[in-house]
Amino acid sequence: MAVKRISGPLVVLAAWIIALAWLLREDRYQLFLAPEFGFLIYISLVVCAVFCISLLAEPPVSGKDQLIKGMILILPIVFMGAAGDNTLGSFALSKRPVATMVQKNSDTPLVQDLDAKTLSEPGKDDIQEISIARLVRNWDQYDGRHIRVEGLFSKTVEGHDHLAAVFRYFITCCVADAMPVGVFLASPEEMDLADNDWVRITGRVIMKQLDGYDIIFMETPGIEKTEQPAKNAAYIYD
Amino acid sequence: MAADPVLPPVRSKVSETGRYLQMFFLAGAILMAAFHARSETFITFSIIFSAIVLEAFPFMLLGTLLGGFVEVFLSRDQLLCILPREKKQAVAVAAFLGIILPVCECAIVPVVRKFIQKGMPLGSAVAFLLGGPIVNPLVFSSTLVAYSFAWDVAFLRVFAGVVIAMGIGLLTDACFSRKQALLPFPEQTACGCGHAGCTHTHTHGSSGSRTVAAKIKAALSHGAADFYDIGRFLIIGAFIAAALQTLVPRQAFMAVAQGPFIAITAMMVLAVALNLCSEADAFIAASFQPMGMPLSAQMAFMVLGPMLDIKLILMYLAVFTRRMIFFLAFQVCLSVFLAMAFLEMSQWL
Repeated sequence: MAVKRISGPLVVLAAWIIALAWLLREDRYQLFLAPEFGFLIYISLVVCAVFCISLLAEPPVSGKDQLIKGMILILPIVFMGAAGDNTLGSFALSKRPVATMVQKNSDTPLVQDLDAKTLSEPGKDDIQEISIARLVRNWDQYDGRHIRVEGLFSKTVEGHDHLAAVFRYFITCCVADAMPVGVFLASPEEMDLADNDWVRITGRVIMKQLDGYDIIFMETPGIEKTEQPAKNAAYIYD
Repeated sequence: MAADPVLPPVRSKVSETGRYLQMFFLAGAILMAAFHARSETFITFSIIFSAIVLEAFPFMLLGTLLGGFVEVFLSRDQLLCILPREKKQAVAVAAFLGIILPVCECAIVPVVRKFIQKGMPLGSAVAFLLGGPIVNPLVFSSTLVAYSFAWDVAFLRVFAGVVIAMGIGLLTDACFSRKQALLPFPEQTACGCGHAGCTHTHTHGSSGSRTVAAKIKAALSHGAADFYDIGRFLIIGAFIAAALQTLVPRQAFMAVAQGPFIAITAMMVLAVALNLCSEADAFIAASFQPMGMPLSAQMAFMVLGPMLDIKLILMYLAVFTRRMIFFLAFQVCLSVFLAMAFLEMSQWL
């Protein structure tokens, strides 16, 4: 029985269309790209669809390398599936230097959602619940203050076993440019916490030096475990 | 005039080796996914690999789409009309072509491949390839924003990029013939469109005998075939870059970046390893400012990245001979280093 051969490019493009649609569903692409770059997924989807339609009437392409080409092109889809709902965690932290200050790239005011009264007249011992993003962007306003921040927990910091960190990642375009930002603290002696647990820490923050770099350090912090706020909460988008 | 004889597809020992390397890569990737699927290292790698591919993928698709339209709608004569006849002038104009064809480095390789097939002179093609992603207005804007509207930084990036692109373009014309520099696909495959095993039902050039709809369909088929032909190089490049990002600590680069010249070298290595899009790399370069990285080193990162990185080297394999790729890589690295060392010594920055 003669079986009609299926075009390799058509199969690859169809697989990519399904994968891209899956990424757009529930904004899953935000696990890889900043939200404002969602249009890139739409562009890919449209071009793949247009290519796919154009190939429908074409006879299958023959050639020795067609299968290898096709399999390599499908490879990223397999790895996207393997990544699942995970985000970068403490392993990636060990490979990247933690940034203390982060420049804002847009014209948006540095402090957006803290009410004016809290900012202008913060009581010395008041505990302000702020985001890590706001802390690193407005360090001058929080130097020496008591604050509460939420982030991923890392039991140790590469090369400094006595230090722990609570951190998130700044994303400019995609996860490949992720830059960890966060607060260092002395490793708690007794704790029921694992790497990549979500925690809320409370304490006074000061600037310290570590290996020649400025770091934000929290003195005698109180640590409590929390739920992950959102699927992509580990990322701070600019 | 008699028609050219139909030649069989070129199959050299080198391409056989390439095929085995790709098979080896594929097997390695599948084994890695099978045996390490649950480790945090593998998950981190998968996330970074996927992110690099997703960011670059649309630009490569758009590049192949544009290449398809160039193939069908732009004749060799029309293309050559854009460029001056004199070789040096043509190189100079080609280095600025990115202003009217604003493609980033992921998209430019398929476009250049098509331009070369259409007869663009080699040096001009190289100048466009290297300068295009830097003079791109979107890249200029992103540099401006990343450096808080420091116009001198944005203009210096364009200036350095254009000068290096022109220099290497001229040098390429002087040192290489088309035969020495280019893979033999354009003129020698069976139908001449450069696609192995091409079965498109099309005629080439911008012949007016076809309807616009038929031409558009042919352009899309060409684009799809180009995507299938060269997309794998982007994937392999992204794979290697993600492995480096996952396994090599950035502190390792920073630790050696004590003096300005070592810092320039370290940032050049980082630019090649990170494979960032030219529209995003200025933000990363600027993020090194608080760490005390000299501006000359940040500039080296921003000028080299759009010209040479792992995925680009892999994509160049679809266009150039290995000898030409070595030449390009060496010249680009040397030029960027010398230019930035000069900037550093002259305290221009």
